[in-house]
Amino acid sequence: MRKAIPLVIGFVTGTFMFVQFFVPHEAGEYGYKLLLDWVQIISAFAMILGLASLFHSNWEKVRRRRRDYGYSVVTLVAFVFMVYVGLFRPGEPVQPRGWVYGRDSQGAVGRWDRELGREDQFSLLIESDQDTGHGSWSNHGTGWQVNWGRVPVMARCPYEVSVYCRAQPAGGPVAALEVSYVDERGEPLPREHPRVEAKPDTADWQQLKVPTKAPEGAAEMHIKLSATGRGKVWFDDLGIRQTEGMASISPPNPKFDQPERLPTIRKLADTEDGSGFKWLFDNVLVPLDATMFSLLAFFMASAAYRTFRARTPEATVLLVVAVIIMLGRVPLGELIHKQFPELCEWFMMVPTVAARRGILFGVALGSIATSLRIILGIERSHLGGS
Amino acid sequence: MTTIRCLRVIVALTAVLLGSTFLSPAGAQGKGPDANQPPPPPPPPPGPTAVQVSANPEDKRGNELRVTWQEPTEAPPAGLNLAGYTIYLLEGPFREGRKQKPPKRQELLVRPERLEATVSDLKPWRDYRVAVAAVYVPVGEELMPDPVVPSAAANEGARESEPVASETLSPAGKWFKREMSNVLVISLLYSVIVLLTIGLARRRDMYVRPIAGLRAVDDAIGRATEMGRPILYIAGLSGIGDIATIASMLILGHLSKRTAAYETPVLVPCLDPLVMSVEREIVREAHLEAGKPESYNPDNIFYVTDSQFGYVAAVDGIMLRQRPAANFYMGAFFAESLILAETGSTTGAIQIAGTDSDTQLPFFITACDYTLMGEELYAASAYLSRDPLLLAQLKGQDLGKVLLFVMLLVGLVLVGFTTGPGEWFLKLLEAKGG
Repeated sequence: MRKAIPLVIGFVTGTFMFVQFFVPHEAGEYGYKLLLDWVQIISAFAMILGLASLFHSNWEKVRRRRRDYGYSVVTLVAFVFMVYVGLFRPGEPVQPRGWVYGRDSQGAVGRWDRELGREDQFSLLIESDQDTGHGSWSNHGTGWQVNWGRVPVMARCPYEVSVYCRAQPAGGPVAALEVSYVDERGEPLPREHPRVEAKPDTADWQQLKVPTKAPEGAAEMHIKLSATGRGKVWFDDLGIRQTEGMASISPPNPKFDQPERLPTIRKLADTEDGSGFKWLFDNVLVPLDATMFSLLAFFMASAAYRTFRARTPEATVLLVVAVIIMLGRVPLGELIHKQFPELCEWFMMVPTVAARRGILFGVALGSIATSLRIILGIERSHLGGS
Repeated sequence: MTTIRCLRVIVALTAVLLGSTFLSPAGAQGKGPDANQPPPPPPPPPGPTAVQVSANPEDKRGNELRVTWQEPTEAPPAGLNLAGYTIYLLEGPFREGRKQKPPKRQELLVRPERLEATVSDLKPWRDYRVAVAAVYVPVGEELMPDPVVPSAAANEGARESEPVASETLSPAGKWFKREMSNVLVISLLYSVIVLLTIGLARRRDMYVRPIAGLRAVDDAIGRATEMGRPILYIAGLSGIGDIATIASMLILGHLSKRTAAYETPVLVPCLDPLVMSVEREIVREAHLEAGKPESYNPDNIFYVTDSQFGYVAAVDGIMLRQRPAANFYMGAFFAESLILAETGSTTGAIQIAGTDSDTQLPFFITACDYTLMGEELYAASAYLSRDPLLLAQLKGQDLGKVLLFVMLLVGLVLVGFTTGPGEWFLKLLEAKGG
C-alpha cells in the first residue's frame, strides 16, 4: 500500500497531464491550473522545511563546535537578520519626502496614503475616530528633515498657497490650510497666520486657497495642513504661486508622491522610515551575485587553456575552431581575412546547430521514455525498490 | 295647474342639465381633463425577429456563443431609422411565470447590416440566453457608440426596441486539438515502441552499450570510501517540475543505495526545498533497501538558498573546506556550471556530470572527468539499476532515434527533390499551438 498509492497518484496525474496537453477546452486548463496551485501550496510548506533545515544544519555545527563553524555563525546571523528585515519590513517608507506629521496632533493618525490621490495614487491622510481629534502635516520638520521641506520666500512678496482636499464623511471633519513665516535663523515671525478652512465634499476634490504676503524679514514659508473632527481628510496637489512678478516657487514634493529618503543607518535600524529590505537587496545581494558571476570569466579562461592544449587530434580541432570563432567575432578577424566572420558564422550555424539538434532529439526521446516509465510505474527506484 | 306646469319644466330642465353634465365623456370618467398630465409613452419600436443562439464552431475553450437574427418586419417609427442592434446576455434558463433576472451585461452594439454576433467570456456548461434589441436613431444621424460605455448608443433621441431573447444554450467547446494530431500520433507511436521493447525484454537479454561515465560511478564511490571523504551530489538548479531533476533524483537513489553499504556520506546541498524533501525520502528509502537504515543522516541533504549564485558560493565553500572525493553534477544547469566544475577540479575530486542543458555541456566536458550527454542522463537510472525492464527502455529510445532518422531522410528527399509531396510532408509534421 505504501508504494501502491504513490504509483496510482503518479499514473492518474501523469495521464491527466498528457491528455490535457491535447484538450483545448477550458475544463482542461482549469484542471491544469488547479494542479499548479497545489504545487505552489506544497512548495510553501516545503519552504518551511527548507528554512528549518538551513537553520538546523548550521546551528548543529555551531553547537558542536565543528570545523569551520565560524561560517555557520555568519550564516545564522544573516539568516536571523534577514528574517527580521523581511517580516517586519523596517525602513518601509511611511511618509513623503519633505513632510512630517505634526507632534501636536491629538486623537488623530496621519499617514501617507499610497492608494488614493487626485491625479495619481499619493496623498496625505489624517484620520480620527473622535469628534475632537486633530492632526496636521507640515513641511517644517526637525534635524535632517528641515532641508527637504524648505520653502524659501522673498520678504514683502505676495503669494497664493492652495491645496486640494476631500473628506469622508462629507461635511464631517474640517480641513484647514495655514501659512506662517520664519526668518533666516528659523525664528517664527510674530504675525497673524493666514488660514482657510472648509468642510470638504466626499465625491470631489475641493481646493483651499490662502492669499498671503511674506512679512519683512521672512526667509521661509511654513505650510500646515490640518484636519479636525471624526472622519478622514485627504490633501493633495499643493501649489504656491507668486501673485506679483514673474518669479515662480516650487513647493516641496507637491504631489506627495516621492518617498522619504533617510540616512543608511536609519534605514536598517528604524522600523518607521526608509526601505531597509530593498536597500539590503540592492547593496548586498546584487553585488555578491555579480561577484560570483564575474568569476566565470576567469574560470572560462582556465578551462579554455586546459581544453585547447593540442595534445590529441580532437583537441587540435577544438583549438583551430576556437581560434576561428574568436577571430571571427572581433574586428581584428575581418582585418586579417574578410572571410573570417563568414566562416565563424558557418561554424555557429551549421556544425554547431546540427550537433545541438542531435542532442536535443536524444533529450526529447529520453525525457518521454523516463516520463513513461514513471507514469506506468515501471521505474520504482524513487519509492525504494526496483 | 300653472304652478305644477312650471315645476315640471324646472325639473325637466334640471334633469337635462344634470344629464348633460354626467353623461358627457369627461363626466363619465369622473374628472375633467388634466393639462399637466404627460402624454402616454409611445409604443416601443419594432424589434428583431428569429433570434437564435448556437454554439460557435470556432470556439475551442467552451466560452463562446453565436447569435443570429433577422431585421424587424415592421417599418421604423416616424422620424427614426434603424441604426444597429444591442446584444444582451441573460444568464440562466427562462422559467415561465417567474421574474427573469435582469441582463447580466450589455454585450455589444453592432451595425444594422450585421445580423450575427459572437458573445464571448462565458463559462462552459452554464445556461445562457442572448437577447437582441433594435436601436433607432433620428433620421439623418449615424449611430454613435457612447465613449464611456461603448456598447450603448450616445445619440440624443435614440430609442431601443424590447429585447427579443433566444432559447437557452450552453457553450460547448472542443475536446481535442485537431492541429496537434501529428504530435499525438508520434508520441503514441514512440510510447508503443518503448513498451514493446520492454515486453520483449521479458523474453530475452538485450545488449546495452557501456556508458563510461556510469561505469566510473563505482570507482568514485570506492575512492571516496578509501579516502574517508564524502561524496558531493548536485541535483541541478531546476525545480521538481523539470524532468532532468527527476532523472537526477533517480540516479541519487541508486548512488545512495551503493554508498549506504560502505557508510560513505553523500552531501546533497539543495536549491529547491521541494526537491530537498523528495531527495530525503529517496535517500532514506535507499538506505532502508540497502539494509543500513542507521547510516541515513537527513542533515546530509540540506537546503542552502534559492539564489543561483548564493548557491554556487555555498557549494564552492563545501568543496574547498570538506574536500569531497567525488563530485556529481546531475540535472539541469545554467551559468553556474563552469564555476562549480572548475572549483571541483581544483580540489582534485573525481567529477562526473550529466545534463540535458546543451549550452552547458561544453563546460562540463572541459572541466569534468566524465560527462553524460543529453539522453544519457535519462538512461543513467536504468543503467545503474541493471533492471532488464528498464534497460529495455534504452533499446526503445534507440529505436525511436532510428524512426527519427528515417523521417529525416524521407523529409530530406521529399523537400529537396519534390514540390508537392515536400510541402505535404512539412505540413504533416508542423506542430501548431501547444
